[in-house]
Amino acid sequence: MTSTFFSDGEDTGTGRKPRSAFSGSVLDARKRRVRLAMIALVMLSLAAVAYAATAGASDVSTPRFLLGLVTGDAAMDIRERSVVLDIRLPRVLMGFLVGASLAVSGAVMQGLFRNPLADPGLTGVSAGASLGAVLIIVLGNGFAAPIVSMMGVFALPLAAFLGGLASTSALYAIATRQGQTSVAVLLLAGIALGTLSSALTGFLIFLADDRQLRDLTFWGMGSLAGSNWMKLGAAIPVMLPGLVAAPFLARGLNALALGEASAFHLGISVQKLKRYAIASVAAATGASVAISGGIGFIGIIAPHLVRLAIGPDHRSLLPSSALLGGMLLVLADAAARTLVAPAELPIGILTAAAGGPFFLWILLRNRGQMAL
Amino acid sequence: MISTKNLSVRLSGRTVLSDVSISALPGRVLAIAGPNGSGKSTLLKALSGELPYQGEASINGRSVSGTDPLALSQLRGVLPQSSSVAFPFSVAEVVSFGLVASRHHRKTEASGRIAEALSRVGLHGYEARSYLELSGGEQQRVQLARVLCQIPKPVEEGEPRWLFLDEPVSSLDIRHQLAIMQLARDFARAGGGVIAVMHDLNLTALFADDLLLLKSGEMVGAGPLAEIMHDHLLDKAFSCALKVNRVPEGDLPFVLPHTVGI
Repeated sequence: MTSTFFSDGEDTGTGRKPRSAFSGSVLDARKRRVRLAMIALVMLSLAAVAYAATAGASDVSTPRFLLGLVTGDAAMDIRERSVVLDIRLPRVLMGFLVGASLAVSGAVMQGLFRNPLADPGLTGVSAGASLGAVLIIVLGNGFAAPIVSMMGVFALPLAAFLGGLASTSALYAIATRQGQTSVAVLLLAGIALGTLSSALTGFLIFLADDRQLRDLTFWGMGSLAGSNWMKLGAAIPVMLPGLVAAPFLARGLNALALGEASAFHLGISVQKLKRYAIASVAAATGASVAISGGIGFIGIIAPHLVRLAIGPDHRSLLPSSALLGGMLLVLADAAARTLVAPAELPIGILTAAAGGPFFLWILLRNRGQMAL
Repeated sequence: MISTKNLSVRLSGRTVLSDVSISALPGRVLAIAGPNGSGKSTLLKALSGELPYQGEASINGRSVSGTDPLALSQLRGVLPQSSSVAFPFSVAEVVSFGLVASRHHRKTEASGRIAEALSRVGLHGYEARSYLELSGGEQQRVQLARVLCQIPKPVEEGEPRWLFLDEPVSSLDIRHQLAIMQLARDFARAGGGVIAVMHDLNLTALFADDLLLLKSGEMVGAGPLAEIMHDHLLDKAFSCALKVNRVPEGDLPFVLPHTVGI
């Protein structure tokens, strides 16, 4: 049933290799590249974790740390052991999880909004999550006391999740009309929602007492300091579902790149996909914000670099972004701890300093294509 | 068979389609024509399940609104009027999205299907090109290949499959216009069904078997092309003096405005 119209004289500009072999080789070449990139990312991530766990104000040599992990603790003395296992390792793992969550949230959001500049930080989702978190910190002894006593350590990440969920849903409702999202409306609505959340957050800070103010300041600067196994344990149940769910959205997000109508024609339940995507972004962003305050731009940088290297297919984009985001944040945190040692820079400053120019670079590269 | 009974669509309080009752048969190409804003695309969207409607619409006996997206995607493929792709996917990837919902096919089979769909629209060898760097006409053909990857066979499991084409040739040169319309007709001749929104009345006359004329959301006429393509019905639909002429050899109709002195 092949049309005879194209059987002669069609100049395709490329060699005429056997059909299936050719298209097979295109997909295969990309698959090989994806596999290579994944292996490289896993190895680099492990190296970053090992490096970050040993670098810092109190130096522990990396080989001895690795040896210590393998042989039990024979190679490390008690002080080193405590520094690495009780302080650095939870912090490094937390950093990895936060970076992975922010990167995956960014990638999912970009897929959902069909735009490479969507990011939880830029679009007010992080601000919404912050509002939820601040609400718990400030009202934890007052209005919200019953919730806090009931939920315990989970109250903060849950509140941040709900705040993120509210802002993501509002953003989507505002910025999307008939399945198309306008970039301008998306970014402007994000600014408006972020401003509104910040205003409410500001009001809560105004209400806060001195002790709460200190908590808020440390938390809000964006820092992984103060990570411990307990906080890690509280964040994982909120964060992990978002991270684990994301790969299941990959096929749907691929189809969504053609627009909502075409995704529906291809057999995707678009409304369901959007709901899951929004919940996954809110969970991963909310928990990250609850732990580390505002850390920006990882959600843009990681997915963008991955797209450049292995293409936009969400099946490989989501896991690769998670690895790269985790790795980048672990390294940024190590830099934050060591650059001005023994003092410590807020990590949010570092990611913003690197992310701002990066964002401008993407903007300049795509200026022609984006009808802002 | 596809049939509608008193199909109406209201969009933000305004009736854009009212009481359309038609049937489309497998083996035939049904063209929908009418002036801008007459509800052609709306009808196609209602039939594809994309828009809520009042009245009845069914594909192969199954109600459109009562069938889930996955099941609908096995019955019909839809080529939209315009489509954008958000990220720099390759041509092969865009075409492979035709298989996005059907998980149970082997990799080798998938790449064979992609290659075949591409050569059917004359884009053999374009697999590795970036979709965003193609011309408008090439992009439209890639989208058609994507639809053909989703619905490769006119008949499967004893049931006709359907192609819904919304202005399939609007940005193509004449050679590719003819080729794509021929492809649509071949699909129908092999037992499938095609419903196409058309602007070019002469291409419609060449390739369609049946014609539905719409104006302001209402039917002006529907039936076999020869019965519908007449001066008075076209005049009524388009509010413009048109003359249906005949090509001497082959008795084919062609349409010209009255002002042209023939």
